[in-house]
Amino acid sequence: MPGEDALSVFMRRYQQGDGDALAELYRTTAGRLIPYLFSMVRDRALAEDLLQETFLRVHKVRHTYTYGRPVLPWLYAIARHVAQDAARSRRRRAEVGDGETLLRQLPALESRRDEGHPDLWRALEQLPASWKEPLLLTKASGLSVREAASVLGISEGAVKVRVHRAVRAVRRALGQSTRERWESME
Amino acid sequence: MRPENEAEDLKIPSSFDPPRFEDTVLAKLPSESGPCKPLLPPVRRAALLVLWALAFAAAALAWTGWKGDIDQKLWVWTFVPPALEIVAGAVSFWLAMCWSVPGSGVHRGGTLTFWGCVFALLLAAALAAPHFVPATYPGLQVGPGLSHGIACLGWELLVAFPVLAIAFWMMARAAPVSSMLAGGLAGLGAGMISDAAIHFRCSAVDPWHTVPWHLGAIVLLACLGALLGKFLPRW
Repeated sequence: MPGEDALSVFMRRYQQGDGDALAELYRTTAGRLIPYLFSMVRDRALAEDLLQETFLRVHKVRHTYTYGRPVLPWLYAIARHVAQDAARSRRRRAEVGDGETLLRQLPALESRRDEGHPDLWRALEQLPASWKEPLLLTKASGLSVREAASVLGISEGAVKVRVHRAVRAVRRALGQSTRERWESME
Repeated sequence: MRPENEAEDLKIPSSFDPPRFEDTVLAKLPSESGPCKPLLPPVRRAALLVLWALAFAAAALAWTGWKGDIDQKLWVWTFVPPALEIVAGAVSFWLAMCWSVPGSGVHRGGTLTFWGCVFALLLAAALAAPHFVPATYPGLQVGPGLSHGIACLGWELLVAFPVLAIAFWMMARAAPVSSMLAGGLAGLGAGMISDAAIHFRCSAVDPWHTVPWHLGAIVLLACLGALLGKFLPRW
């Protein structure tokens, strides 16, 4: 994974009209974005769609990147915006959708959401969004506390506290034995 | 145990690789994607807004006239609060511009604290003003007088609206992540700079006038900005 300087250079080249720079940015960052998006939606196909949408938005708002500023918080903030839009539109569809459609969708969603480590996803699902997001950004995407704070628009102290509370809540939900089981699966 | 250490042992697994760029994004990108002009950094966009706000305020003062006693009353109270309001307005514009780009690094708690402190200081200044005027200053005891108050409110709104419009144009060109907050901050900035300007037009120091009509105009503009921010297009 190239450092922030390299990502910053990709962005500057892209702003200058070099189309290959976006491909390079994608290759170097998509692998980190996808676990975050997957953790947000717990649906592989949807996470891939959101990744694509994230990079289309990157293209649309590429002029908002200031050269020299860290790229990752900017990129994750766009991904978060895309994921929020998707959640909003899913909620809207669920509100207007008829019962039959929902019933057809349910088994598919049920089977997908447990991809990976079912106990962990279930525990994460129970967390409030304000705890879950800092946890996902720092643990699923490997962002630093400072970068996660930039993405979420909260202070570094708030990120630490929320991660701490989220970890405690996940631990409680998992219980010692289950936690050992999924840790050994890694 | 420190939170970050305690969190060390929790790793969220990622179980699959992302699709290839060529299979996904490339196909949907416009064929011609030429260079783009990056936005100016937030601090420079805020500086531009302050210059516009000062220009509008100066034009409005030139058009509607200074307060009658300004040549004899050039005392500290005439200059210090307006200068502080201009600084606070500039900070407010800067925060609005920061909230207009993704991942800018400013945080909500700090922004709201700034907002609260500004209002507390403005209120304190309005309440304290009558106690600090020089003995020779007659002041203007207008009380909550409606017509004088509406004139001041109208003047402040008149000066602030064009600046607010420019701020919204700048925000619409960017990609606000929290458009209500950004709009509210832009309204607050525009309100504070127009309130700074009204010190050169209105002689009243009576809190019954300054709190509802001068401070009220700032609150109104901040609320209006937040409300209009809701209608900024989602990008």
